[in-house]
Amino acid sequence: MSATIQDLQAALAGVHDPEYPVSVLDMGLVRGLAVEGDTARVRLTYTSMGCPCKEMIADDVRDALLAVVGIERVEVQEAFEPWTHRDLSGRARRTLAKLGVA
Amino acid sequence: MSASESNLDRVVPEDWSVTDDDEALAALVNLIVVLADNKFFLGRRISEWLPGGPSLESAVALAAIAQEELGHARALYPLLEEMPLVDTPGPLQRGAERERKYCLDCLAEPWEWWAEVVAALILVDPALTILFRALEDARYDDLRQRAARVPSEERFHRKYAEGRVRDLARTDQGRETLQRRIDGMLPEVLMWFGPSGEPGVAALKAQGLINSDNDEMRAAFQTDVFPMLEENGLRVEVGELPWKRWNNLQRKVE
Repeated sequence: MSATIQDLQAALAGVHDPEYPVSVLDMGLVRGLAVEGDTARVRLTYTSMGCPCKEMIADDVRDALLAVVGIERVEVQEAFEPWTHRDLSGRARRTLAKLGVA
Repeated sequence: MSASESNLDRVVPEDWSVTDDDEALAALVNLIVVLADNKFFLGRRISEWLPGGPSLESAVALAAIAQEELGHARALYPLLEEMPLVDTPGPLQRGAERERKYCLDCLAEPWEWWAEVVAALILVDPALTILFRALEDARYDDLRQRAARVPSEERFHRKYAEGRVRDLARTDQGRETLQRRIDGMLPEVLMWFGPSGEPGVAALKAQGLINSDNDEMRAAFQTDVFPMLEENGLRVEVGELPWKRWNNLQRKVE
């Protein structure tokens, strides 16, 4: 059985930003998600172009998607799209507010 | 952005759709190398001042700025790998000690004085940003996406730079020290936008790869930076620029 986009999203909901307990989805870092056969494709942007955690985030995303039943291959691409605090989800804002960050 | 002086053999293949104009391609390759190298060496020079700044806060700020400058460079270098070149420029980013650097002369060697750091932050960094803005609607997706992101990240660098200019300009001694560094860097920074009517830039503009010519970029820089310097008692008088010492390929004064 093939994996679905919903399966991929559920997996990414468990991948947290390395600095905050907020998922990469709620951080607004995931800019594209696709599945084709046993291959998952994800486009990521980062909070800054010099983000030192790029490799860590990409590796965590890759590992999480490879754990999805039906996914054998993951392609992670950097999107170079702008990121601002407006890309945070409501849930992310609430979490960060509790931490005194936002 | 020189077409005729580039030593990179090139062939424009049919499947590379950004431009089929040989002169524009040579200028584009040069532009990317120059932008990446200037970002790389600016980040490197700033990073060398982490333990030498005037305060702990300055070390933290400089670390963040250097990290972003190096990040901008890292985002640009890979573009060269997709360029249709017979002889690719190679991994420029790994050769910090290499002889040929495509950066301003004022970035080529470590800075000795804090005022040099401040002068570079208020002159070089904004000059690079002006060029990134000129690429924001370039008809080359991979470059446009990267270029569009840089100015928003640079806003914080600029705030920091203005604060340090004000710090130095508060005293006569600090202002004169900074003035000497500005006097030393400013002509080269103004020349970095290239001579009027530069053929490579004209080819890029004709191909929709840049939205401003040399003089428009230089004027945008002056409008952006000069008022702030003058408000702080700094002079921005520039005499005749030494174009005879201009290296058009490496875009630096020799």
